[in-house]
Amino acid sequence: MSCPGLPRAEEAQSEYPAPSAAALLVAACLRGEDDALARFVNEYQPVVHRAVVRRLASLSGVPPVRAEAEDLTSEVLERLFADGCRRMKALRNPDAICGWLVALARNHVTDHLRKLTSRDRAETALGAEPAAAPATPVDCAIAKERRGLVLETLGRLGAQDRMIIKLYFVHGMQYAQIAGLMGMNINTVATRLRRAKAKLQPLLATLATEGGNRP
Amino acid sequence: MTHQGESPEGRLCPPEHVLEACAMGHLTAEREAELKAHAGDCTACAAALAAFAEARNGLQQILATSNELGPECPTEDLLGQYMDRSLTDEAHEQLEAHLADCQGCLGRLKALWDEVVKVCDPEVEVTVVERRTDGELVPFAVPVRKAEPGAEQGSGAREISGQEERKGRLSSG
Repeated sequence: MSCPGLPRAEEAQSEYPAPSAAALLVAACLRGEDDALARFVNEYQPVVHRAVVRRLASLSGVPPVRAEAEDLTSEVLERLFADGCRRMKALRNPDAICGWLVALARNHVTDHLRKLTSRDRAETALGAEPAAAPATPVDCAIAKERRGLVLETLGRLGAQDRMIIKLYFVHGMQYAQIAGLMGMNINTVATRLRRAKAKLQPLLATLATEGGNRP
Repeated sequence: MTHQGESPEGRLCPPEHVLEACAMGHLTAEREAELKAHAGDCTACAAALAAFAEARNGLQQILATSNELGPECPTEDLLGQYMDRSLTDEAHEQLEAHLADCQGCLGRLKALWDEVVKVCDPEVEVTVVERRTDGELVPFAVPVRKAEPGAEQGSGAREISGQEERKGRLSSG
């Protein structure tokens, strides 16, 4: 299957082409083979279409009109195929392209709505997207010093461990999801999280104590 | 914080990692209700749950302060390519270094991941509408993939082994 973004449960029922088939298809597009683009459309148009429709719906708040969604889907694919599929050359792992396709589709819809609506309206709509991390106001009760200490401890962890900690605590992701997102084995995620938590534990405990005393 | 006891009713206390999963909201609703009922009787478990929740809130407050996007933040396609393991090793590591410290981009990555899961999940219904000549709006479901007899089944196992290989290269380097 071609979407690493999927949790294991969905992998079993996925009907996307086997990794090698997807890679062969991208290679065929890059070589400019006759039916390659048609096959690519057949394979991936639904993913792009669904991504376009979901983005349109989330930004405009109403179910999108079929014709508009179809036009935008075609535009995304046309841009992909432009200049002998130039943009596909950047793919190092053509086995998995759903993440990239969804990102391209979302961008294209965003640009389209920006052009359509006045600047203000577009910004309002974009501001409402769920993409932004929840911005909890900093609680003044947390001492600046302790905050610095936590950040310093986090800073001493490797980048991947910091990512894991944040995905787990701030974004509430589960081990399996983090494993899928970062391309790691689930046991690796568990081990790294355990080690990182052990380093943070004394600080977390003080946070908890302070939190408990807050009104 | 570790305790291993029994509630007054004689039920064994759940292990710490289960309490943590509960505080993180990772348990099923049923299991969560069961555990919270237990915590109602067991002060040790109630305290452990509260401590996990407070630690999580504290970390969230500390980490959620810097989510402004700057000029050095990656484009969304790059985040998509990261998820697909399609970046060069160097670009992959550079992006992870950025993501580890940029709360805004980590949030964008998480949102994109959630979106890809939904886009590829046949259970998630995606609909468009079309106006008929009589003016009525008719909904159409957008399929995940066109039905194609004899379509090849993907090999998740192969892909995962490839990812582990890559992981090995990254951590050894």
